[in-house]
Amino acid sequence: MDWTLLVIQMLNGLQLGVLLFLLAAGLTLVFGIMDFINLAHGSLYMVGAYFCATIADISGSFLLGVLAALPLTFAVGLAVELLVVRKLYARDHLDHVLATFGLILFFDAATQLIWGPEGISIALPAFLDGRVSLAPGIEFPTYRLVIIMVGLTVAASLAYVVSATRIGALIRAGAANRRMLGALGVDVNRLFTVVFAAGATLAGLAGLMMAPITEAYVGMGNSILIVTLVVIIIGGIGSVRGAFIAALLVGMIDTMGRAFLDSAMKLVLSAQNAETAAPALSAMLIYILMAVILAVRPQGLFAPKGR
Amino acid sequence: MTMSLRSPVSLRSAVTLGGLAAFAILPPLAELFDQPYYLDIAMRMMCLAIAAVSLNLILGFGGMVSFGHAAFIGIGAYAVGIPAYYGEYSGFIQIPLAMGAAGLFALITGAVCLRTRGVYFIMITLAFAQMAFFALVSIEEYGGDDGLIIETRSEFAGLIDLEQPASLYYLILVALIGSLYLVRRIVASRFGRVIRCTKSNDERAQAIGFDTYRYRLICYVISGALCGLAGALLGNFTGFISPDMMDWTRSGELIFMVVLGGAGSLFGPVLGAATFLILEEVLSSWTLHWQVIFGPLLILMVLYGRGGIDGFLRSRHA
Amino acid sequence: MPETQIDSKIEPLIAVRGLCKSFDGIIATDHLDLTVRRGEIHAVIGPNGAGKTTLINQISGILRADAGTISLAGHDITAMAPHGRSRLGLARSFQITSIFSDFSVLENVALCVQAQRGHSYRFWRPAAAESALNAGALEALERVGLAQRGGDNAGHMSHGEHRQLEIAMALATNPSALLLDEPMAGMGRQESIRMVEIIRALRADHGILLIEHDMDAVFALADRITVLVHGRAIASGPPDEIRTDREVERAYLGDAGPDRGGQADG
Repeated sequence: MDWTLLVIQMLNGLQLGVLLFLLAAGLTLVFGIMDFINLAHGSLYMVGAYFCATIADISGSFLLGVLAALPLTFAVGLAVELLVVRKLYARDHLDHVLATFGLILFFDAATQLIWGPEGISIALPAFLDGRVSLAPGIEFPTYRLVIIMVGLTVAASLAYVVSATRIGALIRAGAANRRMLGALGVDVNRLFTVVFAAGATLAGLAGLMMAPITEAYVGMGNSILIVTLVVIIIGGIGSVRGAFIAALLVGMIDTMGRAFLDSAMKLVLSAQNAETAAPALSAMLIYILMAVILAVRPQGLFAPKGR
Repeated sequence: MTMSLRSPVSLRSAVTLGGLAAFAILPPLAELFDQPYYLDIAMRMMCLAIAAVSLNLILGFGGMVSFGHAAFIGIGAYAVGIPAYYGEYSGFIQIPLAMGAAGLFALITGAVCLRTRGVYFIMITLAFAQMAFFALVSIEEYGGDDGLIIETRSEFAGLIDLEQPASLYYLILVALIGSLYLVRRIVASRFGRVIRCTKSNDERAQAIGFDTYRYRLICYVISGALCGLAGALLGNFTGFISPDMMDWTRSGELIFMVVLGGAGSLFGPVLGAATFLILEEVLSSWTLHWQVIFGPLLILMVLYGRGGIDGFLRSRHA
Repeated sequence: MPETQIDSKIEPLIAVRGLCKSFDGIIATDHLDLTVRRGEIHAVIGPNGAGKTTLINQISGILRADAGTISLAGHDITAMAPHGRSRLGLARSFQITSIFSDFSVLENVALCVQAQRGHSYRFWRPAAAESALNAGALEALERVGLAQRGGDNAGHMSHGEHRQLEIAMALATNPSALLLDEPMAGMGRQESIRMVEIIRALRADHGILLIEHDMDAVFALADRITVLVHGRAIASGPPDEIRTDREVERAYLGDAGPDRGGQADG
């Protein structure tokens, strides 16, 4: 048993999980409170990455890129909500799906138009670019560790906001019973706009954090969006806590599956069969997990009461 | 009557018959004017139209918004490609395999999906389609990301020779007409009535004695199998089979076709498929980044044109 | 046949025993016992929030009870899905009109007939051409007085007509037991009187559980009345008993003094 590899993969799984949580939190809140399916959430992930890459490129500073990209992504989120999303709250889900699908096409094409088809890479500053020694023999990239810490901090802050502040109470109330909010005199429009834009910013944060690793490229948000959908289905739509647990679960299973499934399968199958089947099976793992959980709890693990 | 299946000749019927007639006479015309390009577009249109017709069955009539229908196209296409890879070119094996495999995938995933409703259903169908996508991409043997090329089209023991463009064309046209007729009969039947009433009011449907889960699952399987046929025909046409056929943006385009044409109308999906492809052709001739225009167009359609083309034609007739 | 008639009088058509249901700690149904016999109308009344619709939802199967049993004509249906209960002869009408608004009035009822006549795994013949279904539908529509509206779109009807359609749909499944949830909700005087007649005519062939707020209708129709407060039956018996029951007065009217002369209009 290679413990070093195991620990490293667990940390990778944690990193992916934390990233998925940043995406899932915004998505699940928007679903839960506004009952709005936003497929274009992945586009905001991409937008954050591109803003950061561009500003980092121009200014030479990654940190400046991060700090500038966040409010810019917030602004884009605001624009999307005010111009498109707001008009669709009263419509059915099919309309949401089609309209946000249109947004994806638009964002992907516009990004390519503005920045060209080549991806943009980001150079990390020296202090983030190294490796950290966690234990004798176990080294882990500094930057990935930073991602984990940022993600956990955001998760903790979000937990605090949702459970201990007034706006958090509004969010929890809205997730359970949207109509009551309006009846209670809350400026529902403003709340919706803020929630949407905040979710967009979290997505942008996830995107810009991943950009140094994957490059910023057109369509980068699309495949991770689907994994995010799996996360919130498993976690229960509208539940931030569910999103957190499901995100870690999915991140871990996906990473560990890809890393260790073929070895595990070689214990029972021939090496050749294991090598053919393992990549396909490990790609399918999280969907199988989703199917199993849904068979037992169709509402997801932590769906808020009242749904 | 609310269902206009038996209404007299109307604008909509005229468009339907006119459209089918146009498809029918295209090959000789194309030959006459030496424009084979139009044949190609029309074949693609018809294949996608069959897929859209199958999606309309569950979405337009049954209210089940599947965002993973492209998976069935891909499965159908690979059901032609994989046997071809091993030297098996018989259409008598490939076509039933395409419909059977797609139907089976529909059965297994549908059994899970249909336990959910609304938002969950949409997302789960999307997720399952992605699963199929990734599964096929990871099988290096069949080309993985790069896909498969098939050298020879489906063979039918000499009955028809699909290498002749006109033969393939008319096969696809017959399949399209057959699909339209099949859906028309299903929708008007007892089964179709149950499916439509589950869209209208599922709770009441159960209260009066229908096991709606079972009916919807069967409908989903029929839809999947029909879409698999579309994939098999498309695979034959393009000769190149790749996982991109099942990309989720393809599923989105299918939904667009159904809604644009008029969800819940019989001929609407064909109009939607045709319009989409024409739009794609026209817009991409203006700019490489045609989706920068198409995206907002889609949004505008959602905001202001929900009845689709069929709805527009109905209002003209009234 | 005499034996079966006696049997059906002894064995209740619907039997609810020890039914319990709560939502997040709020008790909606509290150890409820209730029976409905064939040929009787058993009315359930009570203040708002007493749990009347929740009771019907549990009997019809939309809600799963936390504890207790429900039986229909001797079959234990406690865990059965709604469509199964319908197949066994249970039908309900809904308090908030729940019809198929994209269909015509005739089709709405024909669907109900279709649900009980054979299976619907038929993919070829047009259902609208099946004369047996249409005839059955027309019959049910005639019983509620909607026969002339068959071809109209069900979504575009007056409220009163919707309530009539609700009953027609419940009847068209050929049930033995009927659950009527506020059939007279939102109806004017004339319409209510007509509805009372329709329901009265149904008594002979069915066992009816009736939920209603309209006290005139309740006392005109009911063979037995159960009063529900906070999910618990505080009184149950013939109308005359209920009319003069102290507990009932207090529940409905508050502590307004003992001698009210039997005024039970809520």
